[in-house]
Amino acid sequence: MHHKTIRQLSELLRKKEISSLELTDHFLNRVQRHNKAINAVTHLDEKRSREQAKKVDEKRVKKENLSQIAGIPLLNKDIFCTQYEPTTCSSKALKGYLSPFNATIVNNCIDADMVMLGKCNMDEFAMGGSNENSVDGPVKNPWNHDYVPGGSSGGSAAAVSARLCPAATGTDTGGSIRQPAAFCGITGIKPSYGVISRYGMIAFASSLDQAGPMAATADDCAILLSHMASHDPTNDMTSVKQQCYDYTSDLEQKVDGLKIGLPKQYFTGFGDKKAEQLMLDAIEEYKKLGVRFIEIDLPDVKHCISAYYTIAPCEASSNLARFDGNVYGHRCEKSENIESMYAKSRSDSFGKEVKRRIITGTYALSSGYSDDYYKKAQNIRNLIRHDFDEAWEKVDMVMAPTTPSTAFKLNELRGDPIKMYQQDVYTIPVNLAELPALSMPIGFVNGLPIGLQLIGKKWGEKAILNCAHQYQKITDWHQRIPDIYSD
Amino acid sequence: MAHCTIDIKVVEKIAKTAALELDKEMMLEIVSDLKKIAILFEAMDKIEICPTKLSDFNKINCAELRDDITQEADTKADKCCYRYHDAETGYFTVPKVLNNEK
Repeated sequence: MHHKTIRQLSELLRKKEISSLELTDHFLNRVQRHNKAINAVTHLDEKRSREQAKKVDEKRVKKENLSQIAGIPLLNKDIFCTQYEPTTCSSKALKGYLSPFNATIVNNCIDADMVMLGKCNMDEFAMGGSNENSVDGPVKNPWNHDYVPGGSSGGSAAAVSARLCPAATGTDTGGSIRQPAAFCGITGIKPSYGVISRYGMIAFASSLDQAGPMAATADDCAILLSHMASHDPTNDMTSVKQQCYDYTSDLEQKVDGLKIGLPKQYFTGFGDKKAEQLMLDAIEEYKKLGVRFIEIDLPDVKHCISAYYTIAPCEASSNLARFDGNVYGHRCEKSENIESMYAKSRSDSFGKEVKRRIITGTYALSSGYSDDYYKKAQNIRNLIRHDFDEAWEKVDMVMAPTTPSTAFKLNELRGDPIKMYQQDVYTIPVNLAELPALSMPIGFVNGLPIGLQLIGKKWGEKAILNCAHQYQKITDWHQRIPDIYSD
Repeated sequence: MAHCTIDIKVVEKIAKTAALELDKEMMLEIVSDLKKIAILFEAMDKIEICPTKLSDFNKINCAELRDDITQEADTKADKCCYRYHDAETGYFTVPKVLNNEK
């Protein structure tokens, strides 16, 4: 069953060839069997997921109207608030925290009768690109346990890659869906900022955070996104009403005549000839489908690291100020006064990377410096937006590598934050420009997957899903599962 | 722009502002990391921003966004903040407190 896509599983459920309970049990067993090796799942809600599955089966017997994803198991990144299982952001600060409400994306999936299996490991408060910064321990890449799965949605990506579940939720602030999707050989989409409500998603950098689905195929991502996206004006003023919430409607459209831009800034620094060849192979496949390629110039994307690593820590230092042990977060009891309680609780709660980013953000926002740094970074962000706006006058979509290389080894970049930050160079511009982008596998280098990124116009999710789906119809990279997780 | 020299004293000040207690080892590590990260900040100095491409962030006058009624501060503590109030933009412009490199 774990070799099947959501569309195929949905069809089997509809025809009653399998029950949701059987499907849920199958994936619960897989988590129990395989999770120890990769540490992708941190909380498994067996009892409730079985109850949910039974309810869906009963609804099906009663011939009630059910969504396409009814009865399909889902794992949630531990950044989404859930009422019946702890939400920890993989941090000591939120150990045992039980939210009084569900995130909107979680409620949307529950309303669509998905079965909530449990929670996935992640980089603490979504800060990191390797999933090594977690209080629950590092996640390992299912393709090779010596390598990282990427981050911050590393648990979600590894779980889908090892087929511990058919799909998972992720969040993407600077590449946290696309980079782990690329490292683990799965498909993941970061929608345009505003497509999925951020309500109940614990904030890291509010102007950049966006949730999205991670699954084996673009088709599955389209199905999931159709249910996850919603306009949520009561709870989230950044959610934007879309004209249509069916992201599957254009999947079968032909892509001949489509103009795709290849930014010269993205195609200069390939360290690996094999990776470069795989990109060229993917371009050739698209050419067979009638796609035309044009070189484009995005001159300001080279400033993205500076702008992002100013804006994101500034917003993070502000967002994480609430975790002081008073209302939110772990409280250190041995304190002389309230100020000492705040400082001790926070210092005891946060890991090294989170502290580093809080300090960076506090420094950049310190009195008098916010104009020099934060405002300047916002101006650079606007330059990057303008670059893309100019590109859209020439092309329908932009194609780029998702990452500069395949997954790196565990602990390889841990001591060097700048090298770690530079891993996000191809994904960050999309977040700064609030655009949608999808990563899908296009091959392997030394046994590790590599991803290709399709970047769309704002609200252009359907176009990139269509383009990815057409590629996946003529290739089979997305169907590969690591051998040890295949049976 | 003038940048602040990053040393252990500056990091101590920032950590206090951020309500964090850092041990000596962590403090030294942060000094070293922050020096590297500050290079990213300083790289932004050289980037020319065309006035037509300025972010809306610069154009927004917060007074225009408010639909409540603003009232003159009446306590001494509130009034002292108004030394920094910029009536043109509606923002508070505060002096730099970390030491500048001149």
